[in-house]
Amino acid sequence: MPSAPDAPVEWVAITFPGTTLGAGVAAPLAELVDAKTVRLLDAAVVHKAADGTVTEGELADESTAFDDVDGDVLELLSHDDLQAIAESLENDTTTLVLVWENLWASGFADAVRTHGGSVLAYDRVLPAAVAAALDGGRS
Amino acid sequence: MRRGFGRGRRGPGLLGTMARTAVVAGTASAVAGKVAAAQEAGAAQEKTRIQTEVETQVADALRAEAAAAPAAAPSVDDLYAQLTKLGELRETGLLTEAEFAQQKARLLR
Repeated sequence: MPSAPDAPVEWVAITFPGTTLGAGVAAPLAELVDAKTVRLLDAAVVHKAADGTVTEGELADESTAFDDVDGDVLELLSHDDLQAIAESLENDTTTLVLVWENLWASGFADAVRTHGGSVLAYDRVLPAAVAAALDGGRS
Repeated sequence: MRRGFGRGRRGPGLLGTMARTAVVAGTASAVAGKVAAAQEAGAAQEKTRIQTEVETQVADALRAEAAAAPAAAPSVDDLYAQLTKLGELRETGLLTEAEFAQQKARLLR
């Protein structure tokens, strides 16, 4: 059984136009895993057809391109999760949903705990938002 | 990728019922490229975000413990830390009383 995560875990939905996943992302993803930047805990695929019909799939059944990516499919993402994600997807898209542990943050997270700190909040910021903030500071 | 349990995706999931709405809204704005909407992250979104994080952590912890060590009892220290965090969120007004009670019940079930 995989060990419990001790670094931050997040999920990410990567969407592609059309009915297939972009196989070209498999090798770069494998590099992230092999470098122990992330550990994969789950993977799922959501199809949204041109007419809006949603179907769920498992990565292993969808593409052989990811066969060499090391990781677990722990089925953490539920049917309801995937349906919720599907609601915001465009029609005629194929989306890979991954759950990964940010191993790169593990050492820092340990240090924070060791020194009595805790992570109150964290969030992703769109690069465009950073650019806008920079522009605003100059004008 | 190694297939886990093959039991299907029938578990409680990671997103949490309350968080799901926010997640979808956030995803929708990202997909639509509505950067302005993302910048207007007010107190309500902050609250939802922190709550999402807590729910995710709780779900992760419970699931991981169940998966990693079926025989081991949940760590009392972890439970205490989560309860303390919930209490802090309530005191700072980030969680309402009802939300606090819901999350607490979830932790203690």
